[in-house]
Amino acid sequence: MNKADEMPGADAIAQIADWLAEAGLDSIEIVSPDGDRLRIGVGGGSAQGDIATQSPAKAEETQDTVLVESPYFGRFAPIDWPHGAPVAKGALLGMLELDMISLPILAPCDGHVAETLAKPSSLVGYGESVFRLVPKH
Amino acid sequence: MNGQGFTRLLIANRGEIALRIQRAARKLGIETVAVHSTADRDSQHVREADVALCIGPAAPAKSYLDADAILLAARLTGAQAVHPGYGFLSENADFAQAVEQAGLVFVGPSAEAIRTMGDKIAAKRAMQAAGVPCVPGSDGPLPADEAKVRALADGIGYPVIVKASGGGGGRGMRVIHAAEDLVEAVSVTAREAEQAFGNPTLYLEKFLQKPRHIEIQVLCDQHGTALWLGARDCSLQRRHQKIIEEAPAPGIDPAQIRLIGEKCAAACRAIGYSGAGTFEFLYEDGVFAFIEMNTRVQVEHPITEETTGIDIVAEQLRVAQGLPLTIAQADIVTRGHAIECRLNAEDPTSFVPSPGKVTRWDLPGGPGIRVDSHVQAGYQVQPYYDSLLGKLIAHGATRAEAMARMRVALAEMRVEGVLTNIPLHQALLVDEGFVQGGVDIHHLERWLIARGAS
Repeated sequence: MNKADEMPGADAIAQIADWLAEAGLDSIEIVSPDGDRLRIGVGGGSAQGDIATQSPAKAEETQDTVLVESPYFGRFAPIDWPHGAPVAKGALLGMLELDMISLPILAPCDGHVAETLAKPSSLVGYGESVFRLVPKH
Repeated sequence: MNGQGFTRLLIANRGEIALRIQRAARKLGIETVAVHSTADRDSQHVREADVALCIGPAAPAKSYLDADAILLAARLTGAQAVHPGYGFLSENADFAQAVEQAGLVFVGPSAEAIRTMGDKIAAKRAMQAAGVPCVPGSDGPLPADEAKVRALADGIGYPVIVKASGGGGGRGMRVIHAAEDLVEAVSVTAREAEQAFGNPTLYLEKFLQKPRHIEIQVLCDQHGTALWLGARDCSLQRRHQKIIEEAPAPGIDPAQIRLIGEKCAAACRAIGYSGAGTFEFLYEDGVFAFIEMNTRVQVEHPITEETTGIDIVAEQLRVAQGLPLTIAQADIVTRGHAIECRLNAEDPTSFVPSPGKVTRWDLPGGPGIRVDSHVQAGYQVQPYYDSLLGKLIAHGATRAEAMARMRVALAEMRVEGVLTNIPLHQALLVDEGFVQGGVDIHHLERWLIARGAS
């Protein structure tokens, strides 16, 4: 089953995040029929533009972090998570675009995204580290 | 193959042949895409590719044998052609067809030609029709009727060998020395063939007792030109795996080779073959008998390149681009003699593979020495794939000179960190039978038994 059929793509998620911010809501969680969860959160009204340029805080670099590996290969379409926004295990972090197929990249644990390691639209390989997560303890 | 020109080539292979293909492509100004497994991330051809993409884990079924992943990678990277190398998907007709159907160029013959040659009975029939001599045999699938099988075997004369139509490369075959063993052997081989190849069809051939393995390299374009580039002797084998190859075949009259070569080229024209290919023969008592055709470039192609001066892999790419061959048969001459030693990471006595980190890799050099290898100091020999580290090729004006250069090269070569079969090659290069030339395909097995006994 193509999970991309069940879950919104990166563009739709960005639109949903905008709607959440406009409505003054913190987050929304979408659950697919087969149990995949997508949680979209906007923290403290931070502008999305900040995320791309903001370096991870030093404190985060010294903490234990988890590298999220690409489950396949494809063009990388990350979701612009607001910096520090919590992500739940199984949350959609981004997509891999392949020809007519899109594959989800899911959070392996609860935490927050500290860094996006690959450039949007770049070609990423199987097993390549694409996100650094700070796990929730 | 559809004859389109292409400017970006996906190399669907690994190791030394991936690097060899990349070199040929770069020579022709073609960009390369290296698709690789996680185990080959640090390979030279991956580093030097215009685009490198990891397509899966180390297990070949999830990377180099994953046809869907390779086709997706081709689309994603803008590759217009796929070179399959040897092994993996190189002789998979379904893969060639999928490449063609995706609108890409498969660097090799058509899916139809691969399919015909992959079915050993169909291949033998095609060769017989083209006048290529074949091993006496059943000339078709074995009948279900035991009495008819017995009659066929009696007619051929014992010993006979029963082979799977879907087999090849030494797999799916059994030798029968006496009539009383025939029925059971046929039944067991059919079951094995069904399990291994999904096809229980068998055929019967005369079992030659002391043949040599002689093969003819062909090169054909899409415009009706089919050339033969000379013969190779690949008789030094262990368990059907070639260890040392040489070109030309020592002690066989070049006029006889020419006759066989011309028949191979004629067969290629008859079946509309294009690309590089090899006709494999058994040769015994002055008689050639076709066994199978390999529809790809072979490991041992460099010795033919050395003796003819033709860059076979570059010609494969040009032909796949739809260009006509610019060489004429009359221009092809065999210059001197070339020998290839396959360097494997393995125990030279027990043949157990020796994966690990290569800590020292000093290469030989000098006139007539060529090394085709992807290995460098620090390279990690992976346990997931075959143990081929590369090929040492020596060329000389004469066979004696090529052998002398090979002996020096083997003495110069230093490999540490993993075990290699260099000591085996050194011993074989002074073996009386091999030095004399013309040993049969069982020579190495006998030599190993004698070595074990001593």
